[in-house]
Amino acid sequence: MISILDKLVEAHPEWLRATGKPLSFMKTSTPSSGTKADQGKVLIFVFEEGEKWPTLCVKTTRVYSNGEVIRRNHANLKLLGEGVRNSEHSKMFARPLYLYDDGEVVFCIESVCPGTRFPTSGQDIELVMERYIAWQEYLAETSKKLVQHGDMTPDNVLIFGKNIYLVDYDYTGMVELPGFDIYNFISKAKLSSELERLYYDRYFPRYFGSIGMAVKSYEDLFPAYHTAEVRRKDGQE
Amino acid sequence: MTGNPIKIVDGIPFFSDDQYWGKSPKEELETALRLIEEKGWEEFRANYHRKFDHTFEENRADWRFVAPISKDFEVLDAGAGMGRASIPLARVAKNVTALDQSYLRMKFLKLRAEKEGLKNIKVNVGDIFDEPFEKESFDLIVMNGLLEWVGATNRFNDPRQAQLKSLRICRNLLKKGGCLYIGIENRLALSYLRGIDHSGLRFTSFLPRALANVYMRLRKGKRYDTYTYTKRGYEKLLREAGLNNNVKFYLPYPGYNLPRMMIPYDNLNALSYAVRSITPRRGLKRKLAWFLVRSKILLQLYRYFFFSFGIVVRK
Repeated sequence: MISILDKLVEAHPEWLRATGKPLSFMKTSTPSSGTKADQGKVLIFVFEEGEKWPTLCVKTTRVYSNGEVIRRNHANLKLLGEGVRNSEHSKMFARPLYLYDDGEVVFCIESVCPGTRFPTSGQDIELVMERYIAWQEYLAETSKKLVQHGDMTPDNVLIFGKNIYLVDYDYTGMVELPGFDIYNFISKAKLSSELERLYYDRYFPRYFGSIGMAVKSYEDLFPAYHTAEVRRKDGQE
Repeated sequence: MTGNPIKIVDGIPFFSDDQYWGKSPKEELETALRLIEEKGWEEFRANYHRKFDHTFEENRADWRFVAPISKDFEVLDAGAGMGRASIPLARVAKNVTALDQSYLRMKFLKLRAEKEGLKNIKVNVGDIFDEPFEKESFDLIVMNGLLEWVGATNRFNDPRQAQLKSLRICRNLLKKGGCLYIGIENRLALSYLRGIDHSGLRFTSFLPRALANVYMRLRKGKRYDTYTYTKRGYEKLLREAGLNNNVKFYLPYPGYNLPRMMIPYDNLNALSYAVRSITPRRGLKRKLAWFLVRSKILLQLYRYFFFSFGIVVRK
């Protein structure tokens, strides 16, 4: 696969920040990825010499039979991109660049979202919520469908200056219940129950107001969010 | 591809005499193999969890994502053990030839391959020094956790000469343009300050060889022969073995036996990125990691004392 990737990158200099710089490849995966052959993704970051951040992120699987997760990830990222084309919100996501599938190897190539892992401080939660709600408000005004990220856990949020990036697009568009991303993000931020309550009270009304929905009690939605999460993981949503 | 075996037992060709090795006694593995054959893998899982150095995890050969490998590849897994690399490699290569000195370990791998429905794994009992395969037979040769042990042979007085010979044999077995992958510890690994070296003693890898040898003879009554090296040491060894074409070093994290990350050695920015990605979201560890990645000198030092290397060499 690495030789195919090398050739593809060489044929697409527009993907890189500069031309002629030597490239290096770094493989990474999560601790739980690969406990079974058909489980989890593998990421390969492409670095240009001298660049602090990688330029490209390549996603693949250990076995071809599990390639659907890569095709879906690529299609989901395109879906996200279409919704925010030519807007400032496009900066919140990677750019889908290429899907390679020769019947034996499958991988997709994206631009890299620079940034560091979400540090869970109050200031950063405000930044994430502000950017997220602005994106959803934009979608509510301009699109027919309110696409949600679908897996907006703190692990999938990167912070870079005043911008946030949402990464990992496996479940994008799978949950249609508004507010699911916010519930998912706050409930998985490992906050005290008081802080969790504070953030729900602060951000749910702001969120529903921004997308033009009136909700009497967001807490009534929690069982539905929980069910949606379970069904999403099972691919039933 | 193979020469003539001296015997065949249960369909497994022997090119050398059987020599058992492993962290559990031979009798225990024999009992476990009988259990697998009589009652199946679920019983084995239930009774021998973490007992042997096998694994059902498929991420143990993840270094392959930075090495060339494809469906038409003939692969040799030298020192295959219980198949932690052979199994995942067989899913993406044409054939995997597994070689190990232990008949029981090869029998285990044969049963595992049957369980997984992998018909492209051929197991062989043999010693790499007996050169059981024809020249230029393989596109990829794997020495994952092997090179540090080959000096333990009694065929050479000098362990380094044994290591050199094994590398030269691998070079001859590779097709032109083929690739050798070596997964091995760094002689200066910081983790050796806490743990024991391959010798079974503390600090032997840090000592000069002669001193380590004396220490070993005093404590264990035998020579010190499980040599590991620094990056420069491996480069010299590979050069002397005629394997100096396009040598790439990686830093496997957390180690070469579980390469969740393969960080290109020469790119400090990649190392910095890797350190930042694995640190917790808050706390002292995060602060320490961020202090480390801000200094080029500290990163270089960290790299110097990293646990292990993944080395990709082209013939």
